[in-house]
Amino acid sequence: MSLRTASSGAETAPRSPQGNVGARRRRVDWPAWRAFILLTAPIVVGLVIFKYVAMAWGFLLSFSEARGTISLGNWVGIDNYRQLFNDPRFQDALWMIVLFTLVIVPITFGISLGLAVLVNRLRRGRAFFRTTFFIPAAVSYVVASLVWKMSLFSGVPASAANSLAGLFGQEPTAWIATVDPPLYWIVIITVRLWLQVGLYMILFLAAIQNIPAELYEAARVDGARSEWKLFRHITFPLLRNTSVAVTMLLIIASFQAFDEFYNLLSTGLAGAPGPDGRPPLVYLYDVAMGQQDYGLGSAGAFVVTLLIVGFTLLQSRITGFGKED
Amino acid sequence: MSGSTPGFSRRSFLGTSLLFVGGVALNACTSDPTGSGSGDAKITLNHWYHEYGEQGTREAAMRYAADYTKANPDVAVKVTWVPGDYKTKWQSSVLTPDGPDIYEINEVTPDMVQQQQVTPLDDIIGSAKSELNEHALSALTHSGKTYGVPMIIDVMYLYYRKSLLTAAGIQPPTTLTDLVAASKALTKGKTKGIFVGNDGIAGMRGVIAFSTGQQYLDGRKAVYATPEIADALTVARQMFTNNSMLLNYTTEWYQPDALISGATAISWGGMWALPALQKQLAGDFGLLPWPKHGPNGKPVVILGGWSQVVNGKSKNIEAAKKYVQYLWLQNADVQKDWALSYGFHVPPRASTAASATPLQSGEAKEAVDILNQYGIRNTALWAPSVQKPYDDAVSDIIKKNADATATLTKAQAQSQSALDALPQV
Repeated sequence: MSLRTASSGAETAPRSPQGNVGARRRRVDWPAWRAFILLTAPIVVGLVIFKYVAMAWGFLLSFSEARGTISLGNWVGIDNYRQLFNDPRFQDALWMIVLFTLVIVPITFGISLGLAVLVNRLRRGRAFFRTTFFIPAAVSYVVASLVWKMSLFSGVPASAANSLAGLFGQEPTAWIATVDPPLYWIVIITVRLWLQVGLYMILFLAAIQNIPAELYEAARVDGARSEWKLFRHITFPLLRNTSVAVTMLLIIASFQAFDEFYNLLSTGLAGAPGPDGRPPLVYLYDVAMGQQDYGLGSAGAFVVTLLIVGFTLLQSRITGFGKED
Repeated sequence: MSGSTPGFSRRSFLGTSLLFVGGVALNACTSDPTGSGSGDAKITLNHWYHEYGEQGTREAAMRYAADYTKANPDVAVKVTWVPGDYKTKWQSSVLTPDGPDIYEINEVTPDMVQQQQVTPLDDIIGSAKSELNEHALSALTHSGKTYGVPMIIDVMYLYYRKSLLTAAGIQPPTTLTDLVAASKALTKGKTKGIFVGNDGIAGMRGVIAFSTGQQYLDGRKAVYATPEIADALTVARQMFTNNSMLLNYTTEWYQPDALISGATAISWGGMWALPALQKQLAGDFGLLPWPKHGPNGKPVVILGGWSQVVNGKSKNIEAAKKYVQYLWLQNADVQKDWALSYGFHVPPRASTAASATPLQSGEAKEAVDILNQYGIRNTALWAPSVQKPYDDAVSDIIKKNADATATLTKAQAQSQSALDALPQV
């Protein structure tokens, strides 16, 4: 929506060419401002109350002892942070999520880019494949986790994974419960790939379709014969901005991993997942919601935030995100 | 988009929508007002239940509330039936001044006492205390004060398929070593020997210390890093490593499906599953306590269940206490109805349990007998933060072959610091 200030300025322009700038500056379009404020107020007020106040409160809580209460006052300095960093379980969770990020981001990136290139080359049925690959992105993490847990990777001999393994003469395996070797990673990686790849494929596809066809023609004239050369020298470089944005989104999403870990690895009444496959958010959920230690939980939330900010900055420094081409 | 369309203005539209959204949000927190509906009640008590799975429980809860208002016209009761993750919901609700007056919990932690999320109920319990199950009370008691009234006791033990054991020529195991051997022998084709939870741990970790005749806690001291407990875990681990455990099944241990379908021959389970088992496997199932281990070992049956507490921040503590007393202490019919008419639980009061006909015969009687003989549970100090290091240690020992003694010793130190951090109440 455009505010009316600009358009009314343009209307008056022919009548008073000299006083135009001054008049525009003085004549504030109050109805437009009212509409602007009225329309944005709900979301701004909502943001302030439900996000910023909550975040500020959480920040203060992280410096106080708050067990079974969220009132401030029992200040303990950086004790909560110290306790977290001395807790081997939180350290394990941090290492786990860094490792998870290093694995999931390149794989997701590669597959979505590959699919986008392939779908783009299709002469027929492009819309069909685009939709097919995109549909999983609309599925909830919880639903997908349950499908993975109860039918694809269930431990019974009839599950999809075990039927497949059975064709090769393998005994039925408990995919999720086996942590040594960490077979549960297969489950966790595949569910996230299935859920995410479609969305990022669409982003890449949109960017690929924006590349002018003349560039490819010019490259062919210049002797770039193979498809691989065209991809390497034209498509991929021109996708830089999209690639950087996708990487950043993937990293953030990976650090915030919670849903599939919680739903795949927790066992009903037994509560939160065990030490294997426990990312920071699941650990902190247990601290805050299971143990009612809201101070420690808030401190952990800020540690994870810092980690995300740090990784994002590092990544944008390396790839030069935000710089002009 | 023009800014000055006459008629239904944006502002009034926005105002109305905001009011509407706000109203929906508020309404979503509490279910329909129920209980009395009596307009002239001076006090309204908010009573929260988690969502019981059994048919008819919700109607029963509302009926109790309505009956109470009939007898006490001054007090209306609003029953809120909380679906989904009940624990996080009551926990966040009692942080505010508008939390429920009465709610149900599994155990009272020291933090709950410290933050006045509960209030002592000794005055309403009075002489009934001697009649209430001591283990049900131990999870509700701090420094001699009792903060909750048990409503139902859930009993957990092992179920086994008689036909499968007979076919394999195996007697119901009475020691952990026997159980390990039986599980291995019973694992054939599509049937696994034992099911203790999809992670291979859930039902087992809570019984191990008791089965050696030892404890997890001794007062405010974590004492589970002993050679006996380490040995029991090492023996139990064999069931995980030699593939005789059912893992990643489609339902959990608290549902009897794995036993009924024949996916497992022995299963950790609860008394609540008895009606389903009696219907589906009549005559083909038996129950036994978790077997003992070592020279001082004892068989184990675990108690769980729900208890009522009164919010210490409630504005109507006295009225709430009277209501709890009426329902869960004085009214034996309500207690029997609640425990036995919908699901299958044991009333916590000895006299009530003794007079309950469904518990007098068959497997139900067996369950009550082994409960009375071997029933045990941890005290209220076994709080989530204390328990967590132990749970993680057991997972490492069972699933990753970690050295039991070293892992338990490390975890015990962490549990001890968590214990030390709990408020003295």
